[in-house]
Amino acid sequence: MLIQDRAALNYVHMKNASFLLTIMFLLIIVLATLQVVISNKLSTAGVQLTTLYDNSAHYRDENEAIKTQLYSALSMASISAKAKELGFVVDSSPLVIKQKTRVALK
Amino acid sequence: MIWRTKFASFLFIFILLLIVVRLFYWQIIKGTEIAQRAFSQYVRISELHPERGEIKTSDNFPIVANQPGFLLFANPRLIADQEKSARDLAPIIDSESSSISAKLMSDLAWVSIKNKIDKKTREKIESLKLQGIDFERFDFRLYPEASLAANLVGFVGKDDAGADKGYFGLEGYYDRELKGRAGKVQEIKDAQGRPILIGEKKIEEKIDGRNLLLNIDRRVQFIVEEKLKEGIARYGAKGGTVAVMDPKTGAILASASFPTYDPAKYEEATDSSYFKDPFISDNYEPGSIFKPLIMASAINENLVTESTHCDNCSGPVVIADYTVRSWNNKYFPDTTMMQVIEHSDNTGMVFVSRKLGLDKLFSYLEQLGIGKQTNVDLQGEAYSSIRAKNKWYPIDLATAAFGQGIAVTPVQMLTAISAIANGGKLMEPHVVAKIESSDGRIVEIKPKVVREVFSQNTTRTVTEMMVNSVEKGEARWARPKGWKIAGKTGTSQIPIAGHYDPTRTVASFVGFAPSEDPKFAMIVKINEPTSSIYGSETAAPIFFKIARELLIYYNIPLKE
Repeated sequence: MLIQDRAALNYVHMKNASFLLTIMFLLIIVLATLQVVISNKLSTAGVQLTTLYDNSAHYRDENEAIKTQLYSALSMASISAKAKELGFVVDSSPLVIKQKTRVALK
Repeated sequence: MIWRTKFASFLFIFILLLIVVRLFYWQIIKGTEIAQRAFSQYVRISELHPERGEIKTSDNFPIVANQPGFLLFANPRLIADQEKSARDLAPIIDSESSSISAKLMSDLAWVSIKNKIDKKTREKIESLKLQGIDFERFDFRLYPEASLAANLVGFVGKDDAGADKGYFGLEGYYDRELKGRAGKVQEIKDAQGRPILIGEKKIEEKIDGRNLLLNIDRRVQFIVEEKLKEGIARYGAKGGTVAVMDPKTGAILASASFPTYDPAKYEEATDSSYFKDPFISDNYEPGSIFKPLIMASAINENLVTESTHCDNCSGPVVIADYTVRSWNNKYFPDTTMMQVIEHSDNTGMVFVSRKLGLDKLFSYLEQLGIGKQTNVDLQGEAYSSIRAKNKWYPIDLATAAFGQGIAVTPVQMLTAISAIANGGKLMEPHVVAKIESSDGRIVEIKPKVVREVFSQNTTRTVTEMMVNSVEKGEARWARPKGWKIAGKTGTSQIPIAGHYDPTRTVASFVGFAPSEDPKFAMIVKINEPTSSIYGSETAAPIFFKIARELLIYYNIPLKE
């Protein structure tokens, strides 16, 4: 191989290597910047997360309070007291049908 | 010049070595300690409290649920004026100012002031803006039906470590299923205590407690409690117990006892004996309600039939130094077995016991579960063992036949009578029908046959005897017309210091209805009624009042 050819080949190789190195360097810069930006966003998301936790706890407590009121309203004791208040009385005499009644048959 | 270079090099190496040694000390020797300190600064470990399972009746209504609550605590070291803080808090949390003040004056970093604070009370306390006071969330139990089935349910207290623990009844028996398992969240936090998402986060999921779905029918429970309360007041009794069971499955449909307590305020109960459920823990001599069981045993062995005549019923029966008399001193010579039950004739039962003999009587007592635990799913079941056979005398054989000298609990008695109601099988009693996990999986608790005790012929015969007893016996005046009810009254004297007190009795009634296809079996036990000592005049009317309501509730058509 001629010395001039070898020199040209070396020059091409060096140019390719530089190009690759430049690309890699730029990539590193971009990725590092991205990491910083995303980490920054995530690290301050704790504020929003705490707010969400607080809201969730607040709604859970409200649901529990409503559930408590519902259970009390549906209890036998409440219904019985309300019924007495409204004048309802227990009718414990069973209705007995002694005669045979006609029923419509298809 | 060369020595200066060498000296400088030596100095640099020496300083480098010092740094390496120091780094070795901090990173290797003290490394673990430093890492732990740093860990505690930037890592927060929170416990995820599991929700305790609910207890629901058969209509899926929770008689025990949870409500959000708070524990009020203080850091006394941060409170400047403890007396003022105590005075401000006292009226809001309904506590003595002096007791709060004593806690605030302690040299501790954390003291508990009061538990079970609701949201409204918390807001009132927060409006005071007191230093050193804070809250910790702690759900506590809610009882929508107040003290309905209190003895059956039990209550939730604290264990030695301060964690929630169920005591007595269902809360005690099913504590492991109800409590669930706490979870943990480990996350990185910032200086303000807020979570940092990019940090490592470890989560151990909590498992909420499982719900109990009971066989208890809320309407039946309500009827039973109402009528029992009325009866205790009317007859001037010290207390009482009523329980209802499905004889075919052993499912407990209702169980009530008075006096009782409020499980939401168990710490205020005046007598800790109220915590025990008398249905499963009260041992007492059953008296005449035991007679159908002994009669069934003798019939099952073909030793007697309903028309067998008694040959020792013309007067009191003398056994060794003892004399067995009838409860009303009336005697019916040549009486039949049907009439023995109808008249509740003690001398007739002596005849039956002699026919049966000690060995067979013992065998049937064992088969009926007398003297053993029934394994009902409630904490606190007690039982009284039967004396060894070789310690029985002829008088013991005689008295056991009419339910004296032998102790049972109401649950044992009800389970045994149900064996007559369902054609002869002893069923295992159980309160819980299903257990429901937080992920929706359901485990059913199926009815369990303990053993076959009587033949169907035997149970048909004894059922007829019990129906006859209701229709022609001492309690016939109280029975509801239109349905066939099988039952037996009982009046047993209470043994005190080796003898029986004739003025203090346990009045009871046991039975099932409708007799031809029983929907329910029930026991009523009234302790020391004062208006009348007899079961026919106290326990029987209560039984029939409840039975009438249940027969209508279950739409059982009238027969007459």
